[in-house]
Amino acid sequence: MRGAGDGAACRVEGVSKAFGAVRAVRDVSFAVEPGSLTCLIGPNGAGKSTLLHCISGFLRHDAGRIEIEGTDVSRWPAHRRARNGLGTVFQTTRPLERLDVWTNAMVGCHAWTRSDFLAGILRPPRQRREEREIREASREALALVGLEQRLLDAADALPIGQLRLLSIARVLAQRPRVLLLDEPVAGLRAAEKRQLTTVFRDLRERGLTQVLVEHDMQFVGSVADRVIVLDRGAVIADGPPEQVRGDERVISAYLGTAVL
Amino acid sequence: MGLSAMVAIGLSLLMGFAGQVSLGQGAFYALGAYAAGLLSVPKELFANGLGLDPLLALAAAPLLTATVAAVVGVPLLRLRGHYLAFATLALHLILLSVIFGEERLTGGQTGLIGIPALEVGGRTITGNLHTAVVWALVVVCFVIAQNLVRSRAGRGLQAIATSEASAAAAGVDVASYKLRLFVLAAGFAGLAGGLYTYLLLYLSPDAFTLLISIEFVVMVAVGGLGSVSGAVLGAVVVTLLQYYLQKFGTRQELLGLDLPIQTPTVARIGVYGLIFVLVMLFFPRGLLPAFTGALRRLGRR
Ligand SMILES: Nc1ncnc2c1ncn2[C@@H]1O[C@H](COP(=O)(O)OP(=O)(O)OP(=O)(O)O)[C@@H](O)[C@H]1O
Ligand SMILES: [Mg+2]
Repeated sequence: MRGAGDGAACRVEGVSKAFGAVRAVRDVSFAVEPGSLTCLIGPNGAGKSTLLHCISGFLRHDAGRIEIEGTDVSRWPAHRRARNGLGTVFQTTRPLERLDVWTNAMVGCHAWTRSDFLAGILRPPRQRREEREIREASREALALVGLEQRLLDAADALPIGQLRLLSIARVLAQRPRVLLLDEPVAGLRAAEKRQLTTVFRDLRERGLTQVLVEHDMQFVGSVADRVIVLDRGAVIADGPPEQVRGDERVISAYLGTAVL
Repeated sequence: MGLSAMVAIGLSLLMGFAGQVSLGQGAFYALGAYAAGLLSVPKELFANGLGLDPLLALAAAPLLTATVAAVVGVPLLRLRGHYLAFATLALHLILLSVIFGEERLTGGQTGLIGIPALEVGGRTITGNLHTAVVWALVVVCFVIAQNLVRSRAGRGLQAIATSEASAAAAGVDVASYKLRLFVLAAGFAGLAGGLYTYLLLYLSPDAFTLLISIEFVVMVAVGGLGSVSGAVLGAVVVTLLQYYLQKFGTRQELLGLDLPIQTPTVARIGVYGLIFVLVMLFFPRGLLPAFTGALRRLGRR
């Protein structure tokens, strides 16, 4: 197995998940090196989203172990994982429609801030200081994806490409150290894909560990350090993009779908 | 009117911001009212009364109500959407059956009498003074709600309304947040109930029918989901309408027809349905957003 030793940012060990008779993920193991960008690919129904949800805590895996930065988080609820440096962006995300772009990004700051109900109601100085910090951090996150011009626009006025950017800004506002994204460029136009490619490369430069589920091989080839291929729940190939592209099992798994 | 506004503010947080529809706010209102009544009624007048100072009883009413909400909220809030709405409605039904059934505890159908007046610093709080106190407390609830909505916790709650999973992905402890808000909204309803007790100094179960729970939801929806001021506006509009309808409905005859005794109640239910449908048809986002939207359009001309 290629990848990190003990310093893994994210480690999946023998993870399986079944839905009734459907074995969506079967005994998957890999470790992701800090600061790397890994793409998880595979045909429809291969179990990519299921695996991602097991890592982020929205599905409880049946067997195996999931570690984030060396800590076993297998039994942690999703929100606790999020508060400990794990960021997740779902395949489909709805913004908070009634609120502006800025406030939407502020939601992400929930992960590292502390003021709760009472502080929100009574507004002690500590809470107001934290609110200022939240406004600043969320504005920076929006700037990273190029949305700083739209701070005060209503979120439901954004076109789909910018909505995707907003969901990424929101997860960046969480200050994650490990980022999981499910098909971040699906349904986007070429220009938007290029823009996101730049964003992911920037984040990589900043040392963020990323795991992306993706179908678009061109996109995968342009950003990934490493590609893990799932087929019917199991890993069938794992390596740098060029190597995986030539792998016979991968080609036969994709046979007829002609994505490679 | 102010009492309804207080309940509506809490419910608007629950419904309009966190997306949790409760048809049981009337139960918490009743709970607050009976808590205040039973705590302050003297033993000589009612065997199960505690004879506490009314002011103390009034302070205890929202706390007791909130405590009950914290307990029943744990299983209830596992339910979503319509299931939650029906379960909270059932909560109201259960409470009513307790009030009617446990006569020795609650006074049953005959009601609870002999509640002492609320006195603060030698002044009796009745009439206009009572109204003023109620509205002052409405303002307090309003400020609490507004501050909460615009805080980190408020954003977390609004994220829950959009998607519980994506709220959790941002680190929001969804179950705990829903419960805490449920408790706060119940506290507002309990406070309103307690204040109601010291308005009439008499409690009858007839004041707490299922209709009031529905009434609160109508107020919030009519005023505008997702706006605290909308809830207050909704409470005012619905209460006024109801007042005029009551006058209209209690007339002995209408257009030469003898009206049956149930007319007021039936008319009330019918009219809620009607207002609700009309507002939802013409102002689906509620009266207040429609109104401010119109103002903005006028301003732009
Ligand atoms: N909640 C669920 N209940 C039952 N079966 C499920 C559930 N989620 C996924 N599955 C099944 O598990 C298998 C893997 O699904 P998954 O969504 O993980 O695939 P995927 O690789 O993400 O596919 P796609 O490329 O279409 O997004 C599929 O057979 C799917 O039907
Ligand atoms: Mg998927």
